[in-house]
Amino acid sequence: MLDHDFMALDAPALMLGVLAALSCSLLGNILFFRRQVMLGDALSHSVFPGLVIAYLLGGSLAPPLMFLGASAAVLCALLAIRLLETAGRVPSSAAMAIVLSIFFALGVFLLENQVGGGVHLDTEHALYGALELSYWPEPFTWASLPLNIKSLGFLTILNILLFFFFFKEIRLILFNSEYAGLAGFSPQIFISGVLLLITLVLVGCFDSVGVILVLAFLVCPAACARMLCDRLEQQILYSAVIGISMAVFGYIAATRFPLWLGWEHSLSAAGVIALTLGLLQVTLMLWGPRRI
Amino acid sequence: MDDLGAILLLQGGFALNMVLFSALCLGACAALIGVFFYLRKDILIADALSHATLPGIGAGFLLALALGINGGMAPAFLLIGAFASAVLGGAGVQWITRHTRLSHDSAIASVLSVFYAAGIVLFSGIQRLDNASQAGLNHFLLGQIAGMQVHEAFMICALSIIVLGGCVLYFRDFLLLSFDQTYAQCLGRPTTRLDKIMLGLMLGVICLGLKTVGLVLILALLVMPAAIARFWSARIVPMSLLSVLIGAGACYGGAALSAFYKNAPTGSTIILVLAAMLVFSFVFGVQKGLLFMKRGANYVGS
Repeated sequence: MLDHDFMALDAPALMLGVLAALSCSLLGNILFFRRQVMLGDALSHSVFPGLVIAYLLGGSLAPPLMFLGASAAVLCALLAIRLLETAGRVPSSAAMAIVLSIFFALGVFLLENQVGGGVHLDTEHALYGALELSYWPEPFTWASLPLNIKSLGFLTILNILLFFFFFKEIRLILFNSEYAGLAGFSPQIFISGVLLLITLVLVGCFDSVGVILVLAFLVCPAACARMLCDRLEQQILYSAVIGISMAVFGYIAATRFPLWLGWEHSLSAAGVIALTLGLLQVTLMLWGPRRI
Repeated sequence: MDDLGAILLLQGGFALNMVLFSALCLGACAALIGVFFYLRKDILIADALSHATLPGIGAGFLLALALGINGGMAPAFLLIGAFASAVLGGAGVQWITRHTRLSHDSAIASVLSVFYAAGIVLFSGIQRLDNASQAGLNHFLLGQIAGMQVHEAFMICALSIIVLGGCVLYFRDFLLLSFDQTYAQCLGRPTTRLDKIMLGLMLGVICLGLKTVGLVLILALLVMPAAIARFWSARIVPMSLLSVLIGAGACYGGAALSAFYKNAPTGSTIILVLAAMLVFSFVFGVQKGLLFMKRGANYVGS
């Protein structure tokens, strides 16, 4: 029988961590092979003002409103990047840098000016990630499971289904997108769908993992798997396994290692998970079989 | 402070004038060095470096705390730590790009996020240390200009002289490096060393700008003035001068605004001022603005 503290505190945090790592590592592969990883960073920064504005307009942070506000903000950010690149002829790296800083600055500005303290939404969560603050109330049933775990779980399932049913199309788009277009499977539509899915996942991870740490969840598993294999099936499988196992290991390391060392506090769980992913990546970059 | 005009005209007292002047210097030198990275299309390296300073700040704090200096808030330790870990991050990006199969952007993304994660882990440990002075560390994330000390202002002024001198001295080399690195190599220029000097100058700007605008948003000070100036000029000298003016003006104005409206965080106020300038230039800029766009024209170096 698992004890009460584990079910109430550790189980939801572990679930959130594993779901976030799994869905980010799957979707990260697509960004990774299209060399658009930094777009993920731009998107996660622009989720922030979307949430703040949704909160200011709606007065609460109910999930439908959250997802709607964040998706609208990300859509604006993508349009702004596109506009700067095409009409303004700004280099694409600079366009991303500009848009992500403006959007994030707008979020910080609105939050500090309008919302004030005492709300669940704050800048600290966005910057630090607060995986350990999730809480599963007493009866431990489906009904009492926190809503953000349910929505992230739903998104993860959607993700797995996407990779399961569209694997051939994904491979075609990643490695020969022109042919995919000619074969009647439009890369633009597919990529827009993927970006939407990434946005929803980013919103799901927003207050548990944080805006910046989520980038490690997106890029590190894909980069690790890339050091191990040369086939897309293996790449996706390995990155998913790496994401899940590092989430579990990282969470245990953050909450239990300091206790074993005789220090009665725990460390930032999202941070330690991202750090273990990074350390694994360093190890594999030095000794992985397919590193060069 | 009750009058924005008085603040802008330097009537707000010594402390405020010092803050405004340092903001102006910081904006000017960030804008100047940013031009080269903008033209090189490699501005995201600045994002990686600024996030890579975080573990160094945490480590510097812990070291100063262990040595018993000022409860850990020793500026020299924090600054040197930030600089050292950003150098490590930059070397990491270069090593990954050269020695593994990962592309440049995944190298940047992994260094950025993993170094940041290391910093967050250190910070989360520091927060639980029962130490009063650790509250100041949060300012490195989003910036806090109001509490600026005299020595910080001096360092920013000294830095702007160094950056200005460096950019003037190496102007042609930096340009060559930004537009065509291979050609620079063919001419026999020491590209590796010049690359390091250019990155080093940017790193100096990042480290000193951290406390003012915060590490998340310092990127904007580097990239936005150059992008705005590019809408007005296609020649490098006018573009650089304009970029410096824009950066200095926006930082000055933004700092004054945030001193006037007490709630407005400095970093984001400056960036919103820059954003307004960008939107204006995007429409009205004589070089690439929407109203002046020549159909089918193809500009070099943008």
